[in-house]
Amino acid sequence: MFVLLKILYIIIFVLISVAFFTHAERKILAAVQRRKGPNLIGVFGLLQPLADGFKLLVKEAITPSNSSKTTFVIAPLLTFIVSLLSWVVIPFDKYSTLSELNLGLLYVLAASSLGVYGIIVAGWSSNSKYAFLGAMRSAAQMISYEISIGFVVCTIVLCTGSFNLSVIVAYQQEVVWFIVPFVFVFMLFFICIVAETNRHPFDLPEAEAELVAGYTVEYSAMKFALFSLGEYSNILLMSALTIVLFFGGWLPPFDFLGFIPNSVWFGLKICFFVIIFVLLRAGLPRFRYDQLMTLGWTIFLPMSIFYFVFITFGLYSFNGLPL
Amino acid sequence: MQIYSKFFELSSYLPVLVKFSYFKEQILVINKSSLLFVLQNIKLHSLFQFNSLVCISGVDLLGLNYRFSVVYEFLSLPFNFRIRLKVFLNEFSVISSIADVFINSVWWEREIWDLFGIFFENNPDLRRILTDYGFEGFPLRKDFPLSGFYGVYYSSIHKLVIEEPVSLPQEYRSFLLSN
Amino acid sequence: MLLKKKDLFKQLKNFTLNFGPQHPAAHGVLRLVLELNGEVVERADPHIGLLHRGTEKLIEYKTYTQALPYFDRLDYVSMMAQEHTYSLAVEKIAKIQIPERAKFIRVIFCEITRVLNHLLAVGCHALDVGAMTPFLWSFEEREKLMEFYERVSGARLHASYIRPGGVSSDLPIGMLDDIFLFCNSFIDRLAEVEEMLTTNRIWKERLIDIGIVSAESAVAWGFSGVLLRGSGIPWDLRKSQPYEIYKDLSFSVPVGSNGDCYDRYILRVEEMRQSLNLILECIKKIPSGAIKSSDSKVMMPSRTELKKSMEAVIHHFKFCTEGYILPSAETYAYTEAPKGEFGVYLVTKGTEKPYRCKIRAPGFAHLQALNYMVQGHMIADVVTIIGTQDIVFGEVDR
Repeated sequence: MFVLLKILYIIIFVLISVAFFTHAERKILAAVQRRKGPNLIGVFGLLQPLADGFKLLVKEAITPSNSSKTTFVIAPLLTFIVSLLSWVVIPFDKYSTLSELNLGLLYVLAASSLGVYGIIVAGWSSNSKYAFLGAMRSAAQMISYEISIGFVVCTIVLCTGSFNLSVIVAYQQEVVWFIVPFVFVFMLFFICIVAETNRHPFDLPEAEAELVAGYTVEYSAMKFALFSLGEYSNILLMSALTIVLFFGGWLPPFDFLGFIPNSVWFGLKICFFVIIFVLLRAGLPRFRYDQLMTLGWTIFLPMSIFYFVFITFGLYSFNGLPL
Repeated sequence: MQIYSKFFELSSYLPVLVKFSYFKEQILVINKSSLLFVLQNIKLHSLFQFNSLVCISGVDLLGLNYRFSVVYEFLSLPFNFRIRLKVFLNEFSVISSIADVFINSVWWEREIWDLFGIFFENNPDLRRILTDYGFEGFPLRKDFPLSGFYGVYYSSIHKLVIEEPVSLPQEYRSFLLSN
Repeated sequence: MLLKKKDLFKQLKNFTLNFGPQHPAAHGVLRLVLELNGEVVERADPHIGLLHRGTEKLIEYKTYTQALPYFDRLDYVSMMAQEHTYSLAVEKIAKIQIPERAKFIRVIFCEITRVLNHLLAVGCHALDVGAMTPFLWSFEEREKLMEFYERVSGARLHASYIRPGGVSSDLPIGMLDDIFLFCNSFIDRLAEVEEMLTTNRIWKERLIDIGIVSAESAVAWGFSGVLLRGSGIPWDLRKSQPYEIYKDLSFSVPVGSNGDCYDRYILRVEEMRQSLNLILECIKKIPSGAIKSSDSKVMMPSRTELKKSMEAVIHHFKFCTEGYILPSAETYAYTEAPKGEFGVYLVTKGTEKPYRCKIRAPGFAHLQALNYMVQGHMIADVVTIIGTQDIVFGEVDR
């Protein structure tokens, strides 16, 4: 009974964060571009996500006549559900994980791999050339960058000796935040995350200029909203993962700041990463698809493997391997 | 712009019908059969070197025997000189395309075919360029009225885009004020 | 019944993609039929004419003054450049001289127009490639420049300001000071946009070695303006065949070396800087005096004149009703519009209306070479190349 309440709690919080993430993105983009973002609805436009959600609810959902109807509806549902699945293992506080799995990190990787299915089903069921092309590219991009993410995750696991996310945070509490020795690994990981979530500058599959919204081109109203929610929830999830792996999870940076509750620190760190995601979108041009894939396979993958091997040998020679 | 003094000498070797100049611009009128010969000369001859085709225009001189004139405008980048070539045609004559000599002439000739109806043979791609798909007639001729013959619009009764003959409720009034 | 292996192989046709008229990056209404082999473009066939408004036919039915606003609406991002060309054509045939001050004002506004156009070109090109911020910064600067347009002519965009015979009205008081202040602050804005793009690795990867045009091909395809200079040919009509007062002004013309999109982008930014220098020089040198030619047949006489002399009233009446009659002649006038060489071929027949006015738009010539430029590139590069050619459909389709 209690568990159901906790699940509901997490889902509601994630959805509200996603809604305000969309608003924050528009406001920060506007600030970079010397204009004001939405500011009419509510104070500072804070009720804008509400208005957007309401609009998407009442909009007419057009289904293309040649599409396969059941899979057309299943695709956004799949994407959305899968993106919410991984939140169960994220530690918000010392004893506040919904489910402390010993293989928590592996579970997160598996769930993010399932996200690819939603995209492929969406592109296939839309029965349109553009959607199909976009879905194929998106899926290929996601799986290429997942490999590098896997290797970086393995590096972290090597140091701590456990896949359990709470143990990783506890390790960082005792020793040092992983950002300190692993700065370059963190940068690699962060770029791979931006590519994995199909975010600018790696968003060619859904770029307006070329394929006009890619695999979501035939979707409208609530189904499109679900895709959007899924994408933003994925971004927040990956930021949370970065924080847990590199930035010490819910730990305050200095002990004397411990009077601020731990979950608030977690939230502040997520905000920091959200701002970085938005600023990347504001400032950079887009990668072309073949440049993207070259980057993923010929630069990031060798680098992540190299770091993994390097850290292994380093730890082995200093007898630092766990167990 | 300096007048290239040797130009007059050299152009006397070309089969030119008439040669005149307005406002320091050199205009040559040639026969349509000697068009390709003249063009190859002025493009490749080292003392002419008109290597850039600037524009091809059509003019409809209604009432003359040779009704149309096709005007070629060339620019010589090495010598910084411009020249205009005119060819007079009537409605039924066919002029050869200069796409072999100047590759950028394809679209200019397509435009003249579309708007005047002058046929260019050997043009690699002669289709309509500016008018609507399925348009009939040659708009820029002087006997084509300004309002056209057919109007294409969305009809809310039929809920379709339909094509109907133009019916002007008020006749087009043209004021000829010169006395 | 045996199925032979050779019957199993089907005829392969290229995958045709319709880069349709409704597209955020098609820069207007361009229907581009692309034949693809995977992601590589084999052939691009532009279908234009979706914005054809019959400008040339309409001009034949209007007097010379009434035909002037059509030129604003051709290339609707660089308005005064086309008006300028048309005015030069009419002035050549009518054989009228315009006063010095009018020439300086025309040059100032031509250079402002050049900055306007390049701001939009660079901003929209960046937006198509993916960087969305320089687009909004450029448009903010365009707003400031359009404020100058409005102060001098009353309209932000389509100012029928440069007319045959001079300009339509004098600069308001304080205008030159504001232009000077704008020029001083614009240099920093340009530096901001450049900082965002020029040294950006992703930008360079997207633009270098895309759409390379060799010098001979550029001349053969009839390019002019930035596309010609990007391929290494130092041809600028303001220097080689100067008009107005350009021979007395000192400015340099940037020339590219590689002929790719990156060079053209750098050229546009550099040309904006040179235009600023030109504007500042003109502000220093501008004389006072009349801004309309004294030939009252071509320009309307001023209101003080109207109250004094009978001839002025008659000229005013004739000008407003019939217009002026030009002798039977023909001419081709050309200027270095921001996009390339803009030409007007005007044929007159001794009436008050032009007999034939042919508009030579640089975009038409450049779009023709699109098939040549996108050979072997990918779909994403097609968007980059359309952006670098600086196509505006108002002038391509007329």
